[in-house]
Amino acid sequence: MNGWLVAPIIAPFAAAALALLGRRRPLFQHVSALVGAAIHLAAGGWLLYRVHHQGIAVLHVGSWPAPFGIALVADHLSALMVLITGVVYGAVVVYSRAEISADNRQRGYYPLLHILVGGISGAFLTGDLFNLYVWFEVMLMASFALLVLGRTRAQMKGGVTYVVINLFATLLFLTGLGLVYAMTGTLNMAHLHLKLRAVADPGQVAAVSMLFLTAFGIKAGLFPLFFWLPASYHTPPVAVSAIFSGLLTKVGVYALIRTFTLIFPFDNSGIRELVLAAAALTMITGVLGAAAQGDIRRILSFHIISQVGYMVLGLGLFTPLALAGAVFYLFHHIVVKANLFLISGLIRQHGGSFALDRSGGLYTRGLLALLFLIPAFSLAGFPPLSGFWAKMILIRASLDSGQFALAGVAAAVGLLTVYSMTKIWNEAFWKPMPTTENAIVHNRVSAWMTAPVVALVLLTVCIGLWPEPFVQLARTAAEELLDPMAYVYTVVGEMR
Amino acid sequence: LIPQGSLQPAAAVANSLPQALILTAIVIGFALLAFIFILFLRAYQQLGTVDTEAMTDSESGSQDLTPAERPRP
Repeated sequence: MNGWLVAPIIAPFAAAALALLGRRRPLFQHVSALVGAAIHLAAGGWLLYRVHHQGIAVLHVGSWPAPFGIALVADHLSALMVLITGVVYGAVVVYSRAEISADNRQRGYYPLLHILVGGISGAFLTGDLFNLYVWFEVMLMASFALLVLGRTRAQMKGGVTYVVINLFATLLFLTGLGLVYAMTGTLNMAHLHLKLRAVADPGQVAAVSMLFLTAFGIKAGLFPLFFWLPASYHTPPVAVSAIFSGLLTKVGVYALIRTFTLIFPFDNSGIRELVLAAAALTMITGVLGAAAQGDIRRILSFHIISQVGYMVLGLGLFTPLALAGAVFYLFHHIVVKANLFLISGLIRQHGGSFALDRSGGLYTRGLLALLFLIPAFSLAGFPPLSGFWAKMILIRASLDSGQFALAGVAAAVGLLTVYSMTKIWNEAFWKPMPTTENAIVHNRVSAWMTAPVVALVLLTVCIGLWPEPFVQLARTAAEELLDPMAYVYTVVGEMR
Repeated sequence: LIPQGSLQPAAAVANSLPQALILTAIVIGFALLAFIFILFLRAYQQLGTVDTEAMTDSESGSQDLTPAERPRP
């Protein structure tokens, strides 16, 4: 029995229960959150270790054999995602200690955060399509509530947009699910892999896979479907927007990768070309949108979109190297992007504002400047930081498959990313402080806020300097994705 | 339902799985709707409109440190 597979799901929910019990005790809430995050991180590490050494692990919940019961499955991709979720979870929990106001804590910030992480981990681990829907809902409900927790006008506006578009995406997902069940009579992903091949009408399968592409594309922020993201991600507290930016869209990307490798592997239906075109346009519009913004968190939100384009590019190319690039990109991006959001909070603490025209002069804060520069350059893809390897693998993969235009787009978007990062640097750090009213606030920034940023920066540097083990893991994950028979066999066994 | 010694039900039976799935989806959908209505109500009270085109605050709203958050000199 692989009972330990549920640990990354149980730990956050247990922490949520504790946080609810200790609602009036901030210290108790924070300690339980730290313990929950530590257990989650350890479980993620253990999961990756086990999967790497003993192969794909599966847990049939309630001992119902697949495809009748719900299966939890951990392959390399799932295990990596759970581990990196644990890293961001830990960083955000530590950061929350200083950043989350007493008001927000009273309104249930901690339980919601734990439930959000529980939902995310569940979505990464499940091997059942309907169960994936349920985890998406768990995650979305928590994220809705976290988004509007502060009840400010901006949050209400962002919240309405976010909730409505996500409700729509969920309905598309549910419709697709129903149609898949009607066609095959199963919802187990591994079983679907076998069953959908036997469906007589390939047009029908392609049509249903479009529903999934649209639903997950909305969640991931793909090209024509991303407008909800920059409208909402800059409104909640920094800790919340960090976990949203790091993990929520990436659950959409994960679902896309899982769906289009395991359930609907690309064939000649033209969906692959569509995905590639969407990826290129996502990269371009995201980075151009960022260039027009004047608020740090809005710039970063647009960059999430352009980066999602890179990952989906890796999926669309569909070669071992490209998928490895996509997985590596996911890993690198989650660390860097969550970190940049956390740093935007530090910038606000030091300079007083997220708005670039109202901040400046931060170059006097040497540590903060260094902490910003490393992830910013990593995001833009400067060697030897993690983003460089991620971009290099993907550009190499597009050249290998003869997609020169896509390689060009990927390189150009990297260059434009530098432009945005330079803009933040010039405005927030280099230029003198604009008004006297804001004049250099000698704010003491709590160590609770600096420590997680430092840790994530170190992780970025590590991935950059020793990319080998990470690339190796990503390659193994890509091999498993491209040849899902091992996955299928582990889950459904001899049952064919 | 299934007679002793046989592997299948004697008469045709409805598949119970879709019922379970639909029930789950209904429960989730209900919770979502309840949340959305309350959210819209609050948004209307706070912003005076539920027309997203007319809500412009997230673009212009300032999130600078409030005077209370600034350190006293």
